[in-house]
Amino acid sequence: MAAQLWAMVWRDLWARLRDRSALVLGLLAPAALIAVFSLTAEGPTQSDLEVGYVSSAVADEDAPVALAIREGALSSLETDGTLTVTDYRDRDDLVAAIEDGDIGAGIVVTGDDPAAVEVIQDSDAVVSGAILGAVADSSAAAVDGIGRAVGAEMILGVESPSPAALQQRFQALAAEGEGAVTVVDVDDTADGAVGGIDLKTQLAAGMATFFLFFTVGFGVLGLLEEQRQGTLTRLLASPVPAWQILLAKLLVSFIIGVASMASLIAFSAILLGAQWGNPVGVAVLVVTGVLAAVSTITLVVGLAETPEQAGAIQSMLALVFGILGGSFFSLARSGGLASTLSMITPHFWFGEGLVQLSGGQPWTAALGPAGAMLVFAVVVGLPGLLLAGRTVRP
Amino acid sequence: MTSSSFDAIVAIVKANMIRLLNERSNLFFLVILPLMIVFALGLAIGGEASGNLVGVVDSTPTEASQTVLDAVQDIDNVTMRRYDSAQELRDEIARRAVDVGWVAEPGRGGAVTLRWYATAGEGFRLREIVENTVRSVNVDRQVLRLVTEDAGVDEATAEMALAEAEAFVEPTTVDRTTTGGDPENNPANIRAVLAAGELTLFIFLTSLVGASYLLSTRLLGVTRRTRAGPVPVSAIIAGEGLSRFLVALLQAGIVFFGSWLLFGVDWKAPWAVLALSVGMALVGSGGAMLLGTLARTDQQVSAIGLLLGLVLAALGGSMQPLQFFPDTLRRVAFATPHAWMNDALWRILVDGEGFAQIWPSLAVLTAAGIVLLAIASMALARSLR
Repeated sequence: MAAQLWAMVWRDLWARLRDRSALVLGLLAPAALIAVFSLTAEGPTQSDLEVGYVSSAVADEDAPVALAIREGALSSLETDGTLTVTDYRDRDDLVAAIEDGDIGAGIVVTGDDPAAVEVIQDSDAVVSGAILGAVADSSAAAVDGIGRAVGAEMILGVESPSPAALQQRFQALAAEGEGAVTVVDVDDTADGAVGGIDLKTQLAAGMATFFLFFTVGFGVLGLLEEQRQGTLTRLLASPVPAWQILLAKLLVSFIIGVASMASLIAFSAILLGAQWGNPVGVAVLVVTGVLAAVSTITLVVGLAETPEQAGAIQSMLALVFGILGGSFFSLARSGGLASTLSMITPHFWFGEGLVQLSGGQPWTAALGPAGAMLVFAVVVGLPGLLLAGRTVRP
Repeated sequence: MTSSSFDAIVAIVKANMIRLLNERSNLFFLVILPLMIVFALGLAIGGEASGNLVGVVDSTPTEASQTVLDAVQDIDNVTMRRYDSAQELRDEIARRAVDVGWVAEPGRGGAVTLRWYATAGEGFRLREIVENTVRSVNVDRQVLRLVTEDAGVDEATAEMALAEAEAFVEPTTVDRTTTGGDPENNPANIRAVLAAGELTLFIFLTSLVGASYLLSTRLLGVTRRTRAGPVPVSAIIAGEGLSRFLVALLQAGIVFFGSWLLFGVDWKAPWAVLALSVGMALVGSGGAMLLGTLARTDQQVSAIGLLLGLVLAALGGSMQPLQFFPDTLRRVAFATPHAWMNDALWRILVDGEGFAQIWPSLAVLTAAGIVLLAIASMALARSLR
């Protein structure tokens, strides 16, 4: 009996593989898109943020805040490579440089006591503008703070407090991190690494799951074709039990689905360097994901009356799930209803499984999301099986 | 053109349109799907999601941690999300739902440690911004300590003195000025660019997938029977070509007007955009006619339609704008019609250009469309003989 079943499965599989559409949707299209996305996602060559600086010194010396900004904050940002700073002669030169696109933003310091700091940015230079703004604010706050300290010490009767000395002590305190707030890196080993799914894997997973829902059609949808052509009736007349006919089609869909996913995972890992995580975990996700896809197509076949109708419904579901589930773009960042809706789709849970596996987590991390996909497969697949069963044996 | 030719063309177009409008699933593919994507994209990429998202866990807020929070929240282009646990924050960063974040741990005497979370190798710039903000917040404490030590008084006295001194110190002013025109990450511009990408994508994709109508017309033998009547081959070709063109225009119209009316997308130079759509529709019709002539099964049409429709769109900047492509890939992209249209649309929507500047792209698209239609017509003619 099992031999009969496998004979049907093999025969169908070969027929599907010879039909190049299966290869296009199962391999070529997703692989091409993964490749294109990997290339486009690399983005333009990241140039250092280019900024400018001007100080109109009124006296011979630069105002304290000018020094604090130029020699303090900007210097250190230059040293660690975050920014490239160009000095300009005056404000007009700086503005011209921004408008020409040579720099994104700049700081202009005028006056002496008090000094005036102006942060000028191009409307597009959001990051450099924000960094310079924060630098300007912290430098101004520091200088004003010293001013207040000098004033307070005079009030309290301290002998001629020297701003320079205070400044030095203030720097020392700042360097020690004295103050109410300190920023500290997370100790990876203690708290566990912030894994993080890398962009390439996210893209590859999105495309693979999107096309999966088309690919699995190549087995089960055949039922409706055969029903129309009359071959189904002949099959039923043979000693092959009806449930085996259905099961054979389901197995064909399952095998094609797994083969497609496996090939795409291998392709993206080997050729594009995508990191998928623990292989056993990924295997668990693939199997439950394909089951979810097959269950969907089974329901579609159960509901549809003609192959064309089934094809249309299948496409609609594949598209809606793909979009909601984040195959093309993630709804996770938008929060709220959208990201909640995306949780109905198996696509979301497949991606979630990969997130849980990222950062070197063991395969068991995938169990939760795999479970979600399994639940989906059962909830959708049981009615699907019943309805599809009636298509086979009306 | 003889009147029977003209009648034949009208009849063929009418038949195609009736078939199109009768299939209810087309309501989904032509209307609901593209508009749903434009809407979802606006949610996913437009607005907050396109800026910097910072996650914060602060279960026992102190004055200091709240001050930092308020200061960072005030920064342009930064949105905060609150979470209840470090694990939640880590997960959100891992799935890229937020970019970076911190967990506030209160210490002794009002001090706070911010544990900084970010994916390895990322988030340096945001960290600089937050560190500088923290520096500003810390100034008051540092100054207080300075004065208490130097004057040998307790904190309360020092604070009073500092408050008095404040009246005499003229603060350094910090002003912000922005130059330049409409920023490319202005939310309205982002939404428009996303809609533009979908416009290009769908005109071409819908055309290609719609080639199945031509296919089934041929397979059912309708074209051969039409040919048997007093209808010249040229009329059949014109009829089929026109049908494909009208479908493409219909799709363009739906995306154009739908984005505008439902989502407030500002097309800035609508006539230029429509002209580009016509050019793209020509390309789409040529492609559809060729596909409908050469393909042998419906499944082939869907598979190849989906393949070419999506891959060319991705390569041509419909999904990620060409501006953000690496330089070499950007040059390759212009082998696709999509790149010409997307580039022109970007220049209209973000740079504010119009007909006068984008006409070369329009010319290229129209020429490509005409060439494709010519090739497709020859192929169809050959198949009818």
